[in-house]
Amino acid sequence: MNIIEKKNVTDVLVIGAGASGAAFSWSLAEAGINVICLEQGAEVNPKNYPATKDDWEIYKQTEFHPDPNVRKLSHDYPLNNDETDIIPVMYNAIGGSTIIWMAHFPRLHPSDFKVKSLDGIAEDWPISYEKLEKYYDINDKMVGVSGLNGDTAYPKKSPRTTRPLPLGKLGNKIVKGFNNLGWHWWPSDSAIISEQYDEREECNSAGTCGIGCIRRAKASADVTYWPKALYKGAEIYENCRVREIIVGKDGLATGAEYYDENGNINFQAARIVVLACNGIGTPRLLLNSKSNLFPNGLANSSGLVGKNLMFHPVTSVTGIFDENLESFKGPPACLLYSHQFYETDSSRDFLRGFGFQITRGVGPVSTAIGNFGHEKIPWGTNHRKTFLEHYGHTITIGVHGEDLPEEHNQITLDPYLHDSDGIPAPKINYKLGDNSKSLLKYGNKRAEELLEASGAKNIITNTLAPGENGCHLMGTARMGIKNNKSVVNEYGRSHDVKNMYIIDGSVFVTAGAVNPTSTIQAFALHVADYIKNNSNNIF
Amino acid sequence: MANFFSSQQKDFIISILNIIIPKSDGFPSAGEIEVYNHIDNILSDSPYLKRIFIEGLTSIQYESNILFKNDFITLNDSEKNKVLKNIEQIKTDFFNALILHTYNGYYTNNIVLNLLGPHARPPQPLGYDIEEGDLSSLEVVKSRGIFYRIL
Repeated sequence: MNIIEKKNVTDVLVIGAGASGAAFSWSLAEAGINVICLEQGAEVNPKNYPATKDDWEIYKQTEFHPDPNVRKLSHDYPLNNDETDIIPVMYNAIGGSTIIWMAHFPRLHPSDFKVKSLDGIAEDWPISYEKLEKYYDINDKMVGVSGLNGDTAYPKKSPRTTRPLPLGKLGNKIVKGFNNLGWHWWPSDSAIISEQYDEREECNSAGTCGIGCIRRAKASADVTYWPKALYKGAEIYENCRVREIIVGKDGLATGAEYYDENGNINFQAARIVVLACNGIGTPRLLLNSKSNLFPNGLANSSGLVGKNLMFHPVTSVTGIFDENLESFKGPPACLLYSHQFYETDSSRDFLRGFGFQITRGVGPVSTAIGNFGHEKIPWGTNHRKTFLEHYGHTITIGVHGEDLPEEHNQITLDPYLHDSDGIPAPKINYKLGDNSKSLLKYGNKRAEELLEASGAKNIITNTLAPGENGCHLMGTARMGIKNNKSVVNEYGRSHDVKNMYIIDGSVFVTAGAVNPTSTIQAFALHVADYIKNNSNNIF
Repeated sequence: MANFFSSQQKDFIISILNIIIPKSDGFPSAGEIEVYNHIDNILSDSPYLKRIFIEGLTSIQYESNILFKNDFITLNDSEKNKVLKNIEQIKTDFFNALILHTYNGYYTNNIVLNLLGPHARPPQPLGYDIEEGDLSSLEVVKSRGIFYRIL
């Protein structure tokens, strides 16, 4: 097949229009740098989200299902999940997985950057919380974060954009349990605005975050960064799937080959290539970009591309309460959290820790079929009684554990499975580590204790389900100082390919025990600043 | 309107639906409302579901005749329950799909949503009113001071 060579050479070619690609592209476009972004998905229109339909919940099982193997939209690529304890989830569109994310938006702790120094495991990050703090602040302002300043579990943060999302009846219920036990809790930092901001409407507590937000209250990247980036001149080519990054004889990236929506292969030349394809898509693309210079995959002299895959192992513990808590109201994942057990404690049989993410309930269909941490309601004579005891009466605690990097947890290329363009698909090998098992077991017990202290009449504990828990994809092209122990440096720059950068969750050295998007975007802005500040000798 | 099932099969399926979600507490059974049509529509779009439903429904009739020497539709509720419990064990994929699509059809039906109360409706565009909550209970958390690990 002939390759259509684009005549222009862009300053920066970004691959992936999700959380990191959007933030990065905006920052460069603001500075007048030419940016082209290739995205295999398409633009989504918030007006078309199905939240106004009677069968809105069924869409979570079909075209908005978080697992691409179930969703099977034309721009999704398949995953071989035969050998993973956790099923990865993602979404391909302008905005990436933020289209369907739940928008819980915590930062990493300062200690998360120094795990080896503090606890003797994994590796330290080559950057610190203090280094990223400025970018967390910029990102929070761009995104619009509801929350409450003064959290004792963090250093002082910039003013939250809007007040916290409402606690509701279930929030009032669970905080009594926390206070009875003397445990830390705080209203969530949420990438969902509680008041109008930046020409976006405030959240109306509909609870439909998982199928897109028609009000644009949820800060998916298509409604925050991209409009501003496009206004400043950035371009997105949608329905364009990159098959390979091309390198010249000098070992520098020259651009990327991609399939357009008509199946034609194009080549886009660039001075800098930036990968923003998430912790699975990025190693997949690097491993697919083999050449004589890079026979084991691009930027892979360390052999670490695809390795050290981290999710966040999550279990859920659900309390059933006598009172109707109207728990189906409000953004499901954004309520409040606790970092009481976040740090290593030598009296426990595991290292590092976990957070509690207190979540709201779900609608009638999800209640019945058992979704979002709930168990399936039995069929038959007990169906009605059990359904009515659960619907609106639940509080679910997500025990959100820190995953440790282990090389055997990895992304490779499947020799048989391909996407619709014939590009080899990723295979995921992931086994839950012993540390995670101990951590989750302990966390479940503490969650049960909390629900008892809050007055739950019945408690249901789910062990790690082989379900769609893998929303956080990290570690597969980690950053570091040494070439043989990392793929990129502290600015996301490849050790091997000096004009190639990685800005998504692949670069995480450790996972922390919090949702990663806030850190992913802050890091992307940090890399963008590095490129802007060094533009004289980079381009 | 899809019509994958014959009228005879329709009565058979409705008799199954009436066992999965029976009538009670003022709510209709799954067989009394449009759940049957929901399932018929779903099957019309899926060759896979058609295949496992044909196999599964055949198994229900077979099991009825083995256990009670009668067609499923003629059994009493207790006997029907026993047949379905056996099928749940031996035809897992079919039974899981049957339950999923029964629940999907039932809990998106207007009659059921109205009975669940004024909040059981499409959440948008109206959204929900929700209590702000009492943040004064944070004072006890604040009183314990800085909680993060100092480096």
